[in-house]
Amino acid sequence: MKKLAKQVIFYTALIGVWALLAKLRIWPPYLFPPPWGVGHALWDGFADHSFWIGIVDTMKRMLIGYSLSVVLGMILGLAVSSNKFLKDTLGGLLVSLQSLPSICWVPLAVLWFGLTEKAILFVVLMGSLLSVTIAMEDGRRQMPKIYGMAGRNLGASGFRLFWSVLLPASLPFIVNRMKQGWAVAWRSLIQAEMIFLSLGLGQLLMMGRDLSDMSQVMAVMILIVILGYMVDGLIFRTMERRLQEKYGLTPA
Amino acid sequence: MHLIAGLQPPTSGKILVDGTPVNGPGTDRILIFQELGLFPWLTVGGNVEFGMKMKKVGKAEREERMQYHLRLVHLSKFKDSYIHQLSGGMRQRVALARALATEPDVLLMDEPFAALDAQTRDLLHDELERIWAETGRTIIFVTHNVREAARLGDRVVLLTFRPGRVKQEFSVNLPRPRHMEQPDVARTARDILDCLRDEINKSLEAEYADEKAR
Repeated sequence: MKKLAKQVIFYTALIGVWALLAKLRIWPPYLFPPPWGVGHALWDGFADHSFWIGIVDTMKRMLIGYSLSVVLGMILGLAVSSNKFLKDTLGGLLVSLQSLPSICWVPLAVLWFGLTEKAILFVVLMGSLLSVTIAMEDGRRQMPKIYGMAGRNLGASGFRLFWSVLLPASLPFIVNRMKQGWAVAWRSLIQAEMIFLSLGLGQLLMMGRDLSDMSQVMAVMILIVILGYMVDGLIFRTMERRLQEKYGLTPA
Repeated sequence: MHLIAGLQPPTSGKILVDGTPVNGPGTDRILIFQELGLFPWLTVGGNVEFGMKMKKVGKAEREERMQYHLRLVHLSKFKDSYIHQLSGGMRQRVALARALATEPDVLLMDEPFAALDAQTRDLLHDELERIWAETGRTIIFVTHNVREAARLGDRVVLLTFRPGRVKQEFSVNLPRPRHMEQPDVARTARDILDCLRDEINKSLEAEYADEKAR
């Protein structure tokens, strides 16, 4: 409750300073719109459905791209973590590819797929696939060895050992890295949408620029932050906390 | 212990259990690890059922045997608790119940009570002795505590300091139930300790040599 009060005060003050600066007209309103201008843009965007369409399109792409990268990343991560040869070869490549910002996949995607939905998904996939793959591998490495031994000792082997012991044992680590994978995918998607004609939030942002409509630009930025925080901060963090409670790992 | 449990292959030689060579883990030999290795994502009941589940024991029988073994270690009330909600001594008993529930012929215990306080350990000694008498399983128990060995064992096998070879074997024929503070247990422990003295000196010398080398 105390924390909530602090946050209310902080955001009120922030908007207050913003409103004051806008009122003083140090910068022209088309460059520095007041809070109510941005509020108006938000209202209009939702009223003419363009924001709704943007959110739905972006979230749809996110779900498809992220699910794909989770499934593929898990398979790839398991392969890399359970095979010494793959680990020494492919593992290194994956880590080094991670240094590539996902926006760098855009030219390649455009040439391969054209300015299509597929190209956007490809960019998202390449961004988060690497994180998820490395997450799986890391999760299995960080998992205490004792669980695997105890499982084998109690008669588990093969798929049952994986499903009943290794997977649940590494779950807290995996969820943590999945969260990071989501964050990467989210950034990649918005970036990709800014370049493609996509109807997503990224494009709404660019549309604001093209129309020199600063209020819309800021409104969409706020939307992106709120949506990103809702998934990352609420869904993933709740999942993580639940798991930590159940496993008796006290959050650091 | 790991060799008997089949978790590691021997570099040379063979391990025979009732004349059959060990290759790989099997539920006829269950090891209780020093760190226990209880599964934090399962309840106490789920942990105890785990081995039976892997053996594909039917649900009804599994449930019944789980209840029985929890009663055996006095943890019936904690069936639905998670591992992190239990104290150290209770966790030990869950590990014991989990191991016994798979009905192994041989139970391997690797310094299971080393991390517990003396009172809890005494209690668990009593329980282990009672469970051993009730179930009649073979128990191989590794300990560094000579008094504990004399308190629990029928046979105490003394291993040498690196490499660990059998130095001597003692038969302990004291009547049961025994207690740590019993004079005859103390006397047996002293006999074993006298024999152990050389090994202790060797291990100390090795440690000091390491220090000097540094």
